[in-house]
Amino acid sequence: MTDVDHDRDFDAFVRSTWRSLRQGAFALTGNTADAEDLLQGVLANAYARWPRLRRDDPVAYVRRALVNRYIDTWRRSNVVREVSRAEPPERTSHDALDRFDDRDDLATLLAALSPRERTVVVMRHYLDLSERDVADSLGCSVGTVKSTCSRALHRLRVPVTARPEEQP
Amino acid sequence: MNHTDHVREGIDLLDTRIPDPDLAALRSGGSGIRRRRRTLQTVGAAAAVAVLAVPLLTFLGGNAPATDGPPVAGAPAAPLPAPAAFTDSGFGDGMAAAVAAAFPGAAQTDEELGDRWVWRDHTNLDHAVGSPPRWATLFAWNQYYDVAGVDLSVIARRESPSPVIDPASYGYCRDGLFVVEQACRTWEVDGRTVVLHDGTQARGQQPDVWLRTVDVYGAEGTESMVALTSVSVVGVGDTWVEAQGRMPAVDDLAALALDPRLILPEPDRYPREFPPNRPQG
Repeated sequence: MTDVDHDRDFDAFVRSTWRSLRQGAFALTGNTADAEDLLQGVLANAYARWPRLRRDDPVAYVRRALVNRYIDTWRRSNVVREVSRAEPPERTSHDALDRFDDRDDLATLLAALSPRERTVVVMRHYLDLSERDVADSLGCSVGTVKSTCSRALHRLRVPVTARPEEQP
Repeated sequence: MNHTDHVREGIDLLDTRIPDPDLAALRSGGSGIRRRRRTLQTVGAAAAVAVLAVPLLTFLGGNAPATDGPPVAGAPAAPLPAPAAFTDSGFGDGMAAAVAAAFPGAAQTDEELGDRWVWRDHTNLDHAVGSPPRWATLFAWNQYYDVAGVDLSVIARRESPSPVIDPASYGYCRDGLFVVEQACRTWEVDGRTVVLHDGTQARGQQPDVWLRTVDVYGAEGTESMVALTSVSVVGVGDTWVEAQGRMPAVDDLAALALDPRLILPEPDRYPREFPPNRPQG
């Protein structure tokens, strides 16, 4: 395959996955500028290793890379925050929940979640990553993923029903 | 509608105001990353100059790369405890943990393993890895990171000794390894030789790209192979002074390079197969 073929292949990949990556990045970061930076970094990295990546599972790779890059970002910012205050950087969303009672305001409700909660929700319920993948990315147990996800969905006021594969 | 459908529908409806992707810009950014990575791979370690050449010469002579290199005179005599041989990806996890401890927030961008040789072009060999890796012959494990915008490479591999890095013949700080080298010094730590190549530029490298590299050479092992750990960062700047201002400190890089989690265990055997499909020059 020539470089031109690789470029064509990469362009087609970006076009076909752009919508879900864009929405996922925005859901994670909550703002246009950070989401654009996230996408740019992840996709440029994907291009850098495209000849090898295209033979594997580029969609899965890019989805995981998107989340991992975001996690790295908020972990770095957490380090700074934790120096200046003792309590964990979790943000309560009660005010937001009181003000917003409509799922159309999902962006605002997502923004009111802690980064960890937002990441779990987007990874599990938008990017279709497994609980094991989420746990590995966040460095926590599957049980923590389950409880964090349940709490986050409650904050989002999404009715919690079992996924088909989770039903007994 | 279950909660996955609720979330998916809600996120799909978000107004992101993100414009369509600029494919040319993505490719340009990716090419830059690829270029810097290639720079790290090929000139990050001074030994790389020799390492790529020695296997080729020995292959052309019909011999295995591991057995024909001359011994490294003056190499540290006291061997470190050998890490247990690996049979899975656990060594990479240890590398990542060492990097995370040295540079919290470092984001891994790539990983490359070597369990065989392939032709890169008519005269050069690259290492490559099968799927799944052939653990018994694994001799290279490289990881790449982004440390607050700076490219960091961490290379752990087993090297064929070479006259180029033979301190008795030339010295680790031999002139001519790089087109430009601002400083080079060596020191010993627990029987291992640490070599700093600071502010280097190799032939053909872009003039605004500079490297700071710390190599750590262990004692000879089976077949006179040497454990090399090489930690490099790339800085961009019109001058070395400008570039080094953005780099991690030498002491921090040296501490990482000396981390025992970066000592690649010896493989059961070194790959000896002559790579097929040599491109014609």
